[in-house]
Amino acid sequence: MAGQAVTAPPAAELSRNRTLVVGTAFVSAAVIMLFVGLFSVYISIRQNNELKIESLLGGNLWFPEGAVQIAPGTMMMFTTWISVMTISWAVQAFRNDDRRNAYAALTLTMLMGAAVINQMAFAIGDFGLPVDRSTPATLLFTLYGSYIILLGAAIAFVFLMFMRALAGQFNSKNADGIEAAAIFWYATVILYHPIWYLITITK
Amino acid sequence: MTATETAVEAHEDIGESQEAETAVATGDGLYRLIASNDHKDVGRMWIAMSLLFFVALAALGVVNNIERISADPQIWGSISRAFQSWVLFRTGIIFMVVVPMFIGLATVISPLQVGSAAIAFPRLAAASFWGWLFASIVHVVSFLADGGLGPAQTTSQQSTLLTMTSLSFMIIALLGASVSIATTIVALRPTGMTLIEVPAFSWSMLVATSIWLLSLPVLISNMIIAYVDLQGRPFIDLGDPDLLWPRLEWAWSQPQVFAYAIPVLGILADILPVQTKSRQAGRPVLLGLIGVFGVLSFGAWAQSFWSKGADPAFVDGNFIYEELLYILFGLLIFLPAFGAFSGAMDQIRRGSAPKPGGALTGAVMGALILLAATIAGEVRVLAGLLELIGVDPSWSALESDGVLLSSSTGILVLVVASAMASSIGALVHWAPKIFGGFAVEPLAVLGALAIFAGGLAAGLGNLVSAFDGQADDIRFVDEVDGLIGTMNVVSTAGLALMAAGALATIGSVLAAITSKETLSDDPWGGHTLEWAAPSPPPVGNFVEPVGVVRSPEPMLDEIGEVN
Repeated sequence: MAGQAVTAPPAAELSRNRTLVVGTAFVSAAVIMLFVGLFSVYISIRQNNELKIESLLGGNLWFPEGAVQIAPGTMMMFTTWISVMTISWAVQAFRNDDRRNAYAALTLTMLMGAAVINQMAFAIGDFGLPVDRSTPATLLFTLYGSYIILLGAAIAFVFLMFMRALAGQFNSKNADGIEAAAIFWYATVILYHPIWYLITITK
Repeated sequence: MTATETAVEAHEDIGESQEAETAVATGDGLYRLIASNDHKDVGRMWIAMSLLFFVALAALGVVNNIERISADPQIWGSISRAFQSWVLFRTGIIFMVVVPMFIGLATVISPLQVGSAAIAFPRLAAASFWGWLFASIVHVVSFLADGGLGPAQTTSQQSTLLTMTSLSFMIIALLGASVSIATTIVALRPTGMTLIEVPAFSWSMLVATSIWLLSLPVLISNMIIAYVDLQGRPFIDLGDPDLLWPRLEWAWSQPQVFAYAIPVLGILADILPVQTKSRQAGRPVLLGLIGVFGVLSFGAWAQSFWSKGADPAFVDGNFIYEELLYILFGLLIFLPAFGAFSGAMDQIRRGSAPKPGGALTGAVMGALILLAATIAGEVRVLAGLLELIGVDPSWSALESDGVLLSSSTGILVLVVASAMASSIGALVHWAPKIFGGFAVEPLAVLGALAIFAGGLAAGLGNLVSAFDGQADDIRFVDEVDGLIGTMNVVSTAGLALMAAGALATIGSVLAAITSKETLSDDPWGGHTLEWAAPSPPPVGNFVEPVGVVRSPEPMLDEIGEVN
């Protein structure tokens, strides 16, 4: 094979160390466990209180009649579903190096998050009971309050990544920051579902 | 290809995010400590504060135990104050001593063991330390201001709220550091090093931090509800000051208490092969056993709050101790601990005779006390087991509502002694990397033996007095004569011995810090990558980037050792 250039095969491409994605996965797991703790206490107390109420009054009362409306809670859930689509859109747009779509998707995701906080504030106002007047009120405010803080943190995470994207970071080869923000966002959305069921549906 | 050989040219690409976060450590002295986010500096600060808190809290434990010698509080003056001190010992000894010590060790050692130039999220690691230190100080202050996790002497609950807030922030800071460590071990390994080839200590820290990240948020969630509840009239017994501690106690009880000692097994499994100059046999099994031990120590579910038919007012005596799962966890946890211990000790038979010193003494003594703690845990669930199978015990202590169930202090003290004795072994073994000098071996051996003997005396003393009828909760101590009195004196002396052991350890470590000796990279003939770094490692850790790793013992591969 005289005269033919002999070249070694290219070195295998090594995977990047995806510290932000891995770290976010650990944080998301911890946050999920925090809410699992809250849900467990809520269910445990409600179960015991209902047993007592049933034996005393023959009824099954938890929240006062009309205190929890089905519409705001369900609207919040639909909003979180839309935000899942927009954050996934952002990740895909970065993978395609489509920055214009990515910016639009991130902006919409943050707006959806803000809308959920707004709806949750409305639901709390609509509830009509002060935080320190009953067991259900205390637990409802704890769940909603904790979730608002979580959602605020998720929006802040997306905003930070948005700023880094505006500064030129992230592209089709490295969208770790956006993917990490998406993982945290998914965890946040998943955590709304038990809240919706425990408060809006079972009332 | 050896451990120090550069992998491939693509290394620059894979190091992009790592380089962006490379540690900064400029200046000298105090400025360097405050401003640095170099993982060695941060880890040293965790270790130093943990040792100082250990001395203080062991002394507090002595005072608390003296209170148990007589029926009436002699030192604190009131039951309420004595209870506050009793709770501070518990919260402090775990979250200001044991967990921070392991976090400190891992912050220094784990990045080196996985061949990384820096820890993942170095700013988070540094912020976690400072946040933890601030929260710890506020936590102590909250107790001085009549706080605690129980009824306060004054009508104001503000100090109780401060206690819960500071404890929550301490845990959040510890979890922040845990994320940093776990991410380093998972994401910053060199090419070729699979998770099963991660050194045993780092593996045990990965298991431990994972368990902490999954269990301690549940404790925070308990405190969030209690906090909100305490703002008004408490409706839930989580917010009832009288029931606050019983509801949170699971985090200091079996099985969760064992989660704080998971790295003990990893330290033993890293030190013994080096001491015996032989490769660890059955390594995947050993790591698997450490993982199983971690799973069985996950205790967030084991709350009386959630046990079947639990009454919120906690009056019907529905205990988690009677649940089948709780009994199974209690019975099984000894097995992986014993298996991992045996697997590690088997190296003594396989390899050269180990050199008796601080590293070996601390690691072995620590693991032995952990075994004692798991055996005590097995005895503790016997009452529930007998109840479950319908056997009426002839010994009153084995009745299910008996005081045997009130033996969590004994197990807690055993776990603490295990963790701290083991940490002495780790500090001596890795002193060249952590402090840049050798620890004073005789002092370290003395410290490890004192903590071993003191821990056994204090732990077993507490257990025997609990079995003989003394309540665990200091508020309900009424029986102080006979065997109980003797055991209270024994356990008091044991805690004093532990405090002395802590002082000896500090002396031993101080010598390493002030040492001017020039050390070789690998003074012990180590097997893992940390020994490829200079002693002490510079910023960036390794002189050359770490290359492809082919086995769990890359340093042995490099010298052609095939034993």
